[in-house]
Amino acid sequence: MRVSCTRSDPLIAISTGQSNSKGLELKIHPDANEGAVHVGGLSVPFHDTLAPEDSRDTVVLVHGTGGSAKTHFRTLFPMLAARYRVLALDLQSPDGELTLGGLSAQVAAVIDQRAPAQPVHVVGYSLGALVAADLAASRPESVSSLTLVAGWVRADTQQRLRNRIWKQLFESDQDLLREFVTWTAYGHPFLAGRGEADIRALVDARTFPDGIAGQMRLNAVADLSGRLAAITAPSLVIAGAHDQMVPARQTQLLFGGLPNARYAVIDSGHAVPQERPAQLFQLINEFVTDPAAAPAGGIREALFV
Amino acid sequence: MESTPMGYPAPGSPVDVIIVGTGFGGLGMGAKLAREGERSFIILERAEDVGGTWRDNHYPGAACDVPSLLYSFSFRPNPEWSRMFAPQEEILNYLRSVAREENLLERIVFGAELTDARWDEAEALWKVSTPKGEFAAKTLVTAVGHLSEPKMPDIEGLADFSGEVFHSAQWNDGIDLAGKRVGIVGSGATAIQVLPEVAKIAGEVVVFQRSAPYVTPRPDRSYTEEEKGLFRKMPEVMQELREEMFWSNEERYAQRRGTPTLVSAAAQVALDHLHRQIEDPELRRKLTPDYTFGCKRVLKSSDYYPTFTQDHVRLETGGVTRVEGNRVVGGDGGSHELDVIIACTGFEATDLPIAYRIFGRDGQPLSERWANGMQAYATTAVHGFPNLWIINGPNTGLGHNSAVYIAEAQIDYIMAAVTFRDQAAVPALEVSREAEDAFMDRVDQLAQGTVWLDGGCSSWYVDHRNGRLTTLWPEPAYTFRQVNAPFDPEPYLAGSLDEAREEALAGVR
Repeated sequence: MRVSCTRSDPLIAISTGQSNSKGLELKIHPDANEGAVHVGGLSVPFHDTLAPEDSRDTVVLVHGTGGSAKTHFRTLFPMLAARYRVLALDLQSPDGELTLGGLSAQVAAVIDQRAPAQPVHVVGYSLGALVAADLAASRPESVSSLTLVAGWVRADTQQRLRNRIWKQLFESDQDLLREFVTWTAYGHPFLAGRGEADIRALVDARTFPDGIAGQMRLNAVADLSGRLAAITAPSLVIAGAHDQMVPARQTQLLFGGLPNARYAVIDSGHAVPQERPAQLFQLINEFVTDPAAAPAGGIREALFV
Repeated sequence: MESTPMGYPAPGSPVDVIIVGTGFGGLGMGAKLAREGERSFIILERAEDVGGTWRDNHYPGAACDVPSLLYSFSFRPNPEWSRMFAPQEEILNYLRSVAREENLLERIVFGAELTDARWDEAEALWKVSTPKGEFAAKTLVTAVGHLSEPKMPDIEGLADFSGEVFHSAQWNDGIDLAGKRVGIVGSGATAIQVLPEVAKIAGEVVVFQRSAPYVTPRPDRSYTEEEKGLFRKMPEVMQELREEMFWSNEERYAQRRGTPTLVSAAAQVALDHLHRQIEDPELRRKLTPDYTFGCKRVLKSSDYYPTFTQDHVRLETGGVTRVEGNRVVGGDGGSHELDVIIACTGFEATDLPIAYRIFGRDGQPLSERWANGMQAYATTAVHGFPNLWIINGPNTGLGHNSAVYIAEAQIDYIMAAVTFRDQAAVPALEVSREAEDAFMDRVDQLAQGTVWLDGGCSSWYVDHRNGRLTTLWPEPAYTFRQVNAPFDPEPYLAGSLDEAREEALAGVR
């Protein structure tokens, strides 16, 4: 274990991956059962807090590009686990072309094997939001509510421009890409509120796992146009006000297209689960507790502070 | 600051509300009442100035470890904070300006320590005694804080110490510490602020630590002129920063739920801080906590650890065993001749002294109701004590966020309760015992599995009399407001035997 380092903010330490003093990687939550579900030749890992006689609702977490349950939901998972059974998975990349349908089939397989009895609350973040929407459209009977965080309908020219820069840097200069991704992932207030050492730690912690290039290709071409109107599940659409990867206007189009949606905005960049996990939890928790409580088409106001 | 007597009620003429205390809780309550303008009220203050804990704790280095834009009233944002974490004097001046600009000074009775408050059933009034006279009110709101009564350590021979002894909250400005040999008893939130300042002037300093705290960096800096100008011209920017600070603090709540990944990540931040600032392995070992992160208050300081690297500063890890003349003997055998002892030993947080002075229905003292630990419905109302509401009472502390946010939620509750009562034209509201017990059961449940109960430390968060978490709110701060700010009359009706009263209340439900 590295003893001396430059990070000085708990938030940043949380995003850098954790191991205990023996060097073993800790589970995302002490109550999480870990395992894998096999689907289409892939082994899809899951983290499931299911305990005997736990009759609480199930919340399914679907991470985004380049992430995993642990990197994207490190803080959100335990917060939700205090109130719900939480089931998160690590999306896998097939040898062939990556599609929304292929990814949502992974989610469906995990749900079918781990939580088949009742419809579940699905929370998708970033690319995971598109996967979750695809699932809700193709398997409405499995989804009791749908929360889409920093998602979009179809990449616009701003998003595709960033995607092209990403691709070129991925192929030519991954050190610079780490800086570029850090710059685009977090909101201005979040980055500006940190010291240089903290920013350095964020950059250093950035990794490009296998399959990320395929996910980036999918980000550029994925298209939910025309499919949202068929999604009847109560939905909550959450945008990051300072999101540079998926500008809030793009996320708002999900709200525009979903017939049974509410909208909320968080003062964060794209990295909502890292920048504002507590506020994200508050919004998800209130929505999931009673998805129809707030009227469709309404805007959820931020809590008084 | 002088009190003007024009706001005093004439003897024998009751006011609507008596508030006790002029810290954030009391002044916030007063400001809301004054802005509403519907009710007469006075505020009783035992000292000669406002400010509560921020008036008393004027020791060198005193500051808040919640950033000032968050540690201030939502309805009085202050663009003039000099720094992110303003020093004590600025916070005190902020409270003075609140008292002045919310027109509260004329309603404050200074030098009026509440010595006795009794519920008069026949008149449905609280009768209150103070050195400045007797007062009466329909409603009594106490806002005395849980960090207001200094707790001196129980050390053999301390009373006979041949040098000077004082508590950090009763700082003796008459003693010049320059060149003196000073002992600091304690290593909590106060000690870590006091030590760096005292070490600058004292000839020798010994810290008597019982248990090493977790200390994290304090990301303090001054605000630029441009920032302050922006805050003045666009106050909404202050609100954005306030919300950022609030939600960032809320995230720390997840660490307190005892999730190993988050607890170890947070603890690592503190341990990295220690390793960066202290190189000597022996000193590091002494300053390394032996309990779970977050079980006791997590402290913030960037200059505490470096102070120990100075030659004239020493650390004793076994606390203080006894005092003999001018010699202070530590638990690990170290013994030091000292001129001054500063007790940074905290406050009576679980056994509130004011509870011994409040007598409810049938003359029952609040301290008796609370003999096995504090409890209150919605953290503010106690069965047997009609028309009494308590700010900063049981389960109002936070391990991770701003106490002012909590007080504001309670003030909203009390305003709604009083308004309801007066509209219903009932003389008194008294919460049912059943509702109070059910509320506490719920708090107990929420506290299970938190680091405060399971973290293997002893702290002022837990009442040793019943093992319950009675001072802290065991949930995120935002749920405190959701649970405890909205007023629901129902718990005040259950168990009522008075049919006429029931009907009156039913009419306004």
